Amino acid sequence: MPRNQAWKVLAANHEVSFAALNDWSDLLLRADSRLAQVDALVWVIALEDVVDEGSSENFHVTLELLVNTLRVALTRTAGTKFIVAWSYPSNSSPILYAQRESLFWDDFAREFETALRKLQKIHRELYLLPLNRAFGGAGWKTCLDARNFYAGNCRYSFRGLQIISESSGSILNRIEETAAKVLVLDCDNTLWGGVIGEDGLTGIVLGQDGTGRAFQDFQRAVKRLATSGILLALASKNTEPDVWQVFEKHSGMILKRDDIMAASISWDDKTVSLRKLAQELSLGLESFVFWDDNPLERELVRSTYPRVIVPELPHDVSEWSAFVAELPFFHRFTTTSEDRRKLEQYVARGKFQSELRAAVDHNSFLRSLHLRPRAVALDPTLLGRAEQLCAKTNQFNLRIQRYSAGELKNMAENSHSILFLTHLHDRFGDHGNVGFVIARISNIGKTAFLDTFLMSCRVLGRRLESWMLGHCVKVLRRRGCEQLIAEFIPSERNMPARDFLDSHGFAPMNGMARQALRQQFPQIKISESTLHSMQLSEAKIPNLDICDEKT
Amino acid sequence: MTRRLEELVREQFPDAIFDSADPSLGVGSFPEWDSLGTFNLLLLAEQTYSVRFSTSEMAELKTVAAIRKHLKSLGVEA
Repeated sequence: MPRNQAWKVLAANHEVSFAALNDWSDLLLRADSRLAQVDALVWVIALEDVVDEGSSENFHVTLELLVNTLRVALTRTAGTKFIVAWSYPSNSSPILYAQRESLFWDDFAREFETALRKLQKIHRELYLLPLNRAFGGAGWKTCLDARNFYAGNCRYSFRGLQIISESSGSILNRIEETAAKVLVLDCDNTLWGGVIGEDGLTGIVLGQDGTGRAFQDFQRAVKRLATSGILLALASKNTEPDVWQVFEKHSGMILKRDDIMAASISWDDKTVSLRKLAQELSLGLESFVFWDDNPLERELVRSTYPRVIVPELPHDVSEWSAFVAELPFFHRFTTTSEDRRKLEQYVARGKFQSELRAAVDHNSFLRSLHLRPRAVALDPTLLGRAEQLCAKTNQFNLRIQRYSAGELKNMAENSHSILFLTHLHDRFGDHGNVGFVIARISNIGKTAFLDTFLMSCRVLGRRLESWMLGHCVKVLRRRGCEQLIAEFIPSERNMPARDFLDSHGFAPMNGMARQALRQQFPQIKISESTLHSMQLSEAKIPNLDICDEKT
Repeated sequence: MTRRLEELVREQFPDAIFDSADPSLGVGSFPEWDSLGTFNLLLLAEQTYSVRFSTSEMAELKTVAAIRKHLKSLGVEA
């Protein structure tokens, strides 16, 4: 239904245009179709409009037609995202289902979805929106409207159209923005009923019956989020021992102290607490969801930090467990093993930081970690991880170049580039591939340029960067290079990398060098920042004795 | 306060040029107000005034005056 007000939600963040009704085959199959010029296509199909009920011949022909049309369009376009939304008639008469295994529409919809899921394995830009499920929350019947079909050729009610609009918008938003990473929780009247400072351990409401059970179920829902990789933090106006006493001694607590990755328990404003938590976890505030029963606290956070997600909570705690589970901010298209390991990695990081604070001699402490870094060649299976590191690493990143997997693949195939990931294992566990380096070698001289040098913030403080540079220098020397040029391009967040070049034997170059460098590396955008250089034969890189594995 | 019907016409057809005082304002008054435009406007009116039009009413209500008159019969001053 083009230009209906129900599309407002989608149109709020996207420029929306509409194809003509039933024009899908032309739009998807024509080689000069405008499909290639759009970022995303939402294809809404009421299956009863494309297949006759009961016709088995028609069933298979139509199924193949729909899926093949989509396959052609997906193959032809690169980069366009496809959201296929479909609905089918459902009959709620109990008699029909009492003895029959399935009905025509159930069979057709199942086979259609199976075929689309197969297609999805090949085409990652395909996203599915099964409307019968999406309509479930609002009530399937409230989302359909036979009158709209006879009056305007539209199977859906205004509410149904709104849900299609909201759901497509949610999918597109998640493609464009990563999911939230941290849930910050208040304690009193949020994790339990009552105020621990006033009611005491035996007076707070948390347990088997009534409201106490609702608080427990909310904690269970929160714990499930933690299991999927969401980090939990506390921001509570309280006396710290009071709060931990509940976590450690109250038998009704589902969440345990170990589930909490960071806590700010004080009489500070919640905005101050949030800032402290962001620093402690080394994450931007846009990764945070703030959950507090007090509307004034929510409003204060909203107005101070618009980037923090602050959901408006249902008044009744009995609705919270379902509400938190349905919040789309936390949902990812897939949950990887890396996501599930996040908790473990943050626990390890917390231990590392507390041991580091307690250490008397920094170098001796680092040696006690038994750091075992190794360089990993960028094979095709690792392009995704390298792309992810380029996209997400903001703090220890010299130049912040956001390369796509395709661009990295081209560079890896070019003999004038050196690319490697760095894998790290130490006493705190296996950190995976946490560093990435690209050095470009000039076609005409013996000079190399440090195009990308980045390291995940979760291994900061181990001086792994020294090992990475040492390995890079070794490889470049082997290739006959004599000089390495580097630059630091400052951004709002990469201050941790600011002093790296000065402290690792690079010397500032004069302004003339930039012009010469641009001639040697015409394909690289050299910034106006100060260039630094190092003579590889004289390289004196510090901290190389810290790692168990030498470069 | 109940929203005026003219405001809904402006919301549905934000780029259209029209005289809201025109007594015959309706389908065909400007290019954007076609049969699909009528349908969308009536759905917006249903949401705004919490009413429901039948299939035959959807076919008959083609002008601001006719919609206003029908809304009045349902107890809505628009």
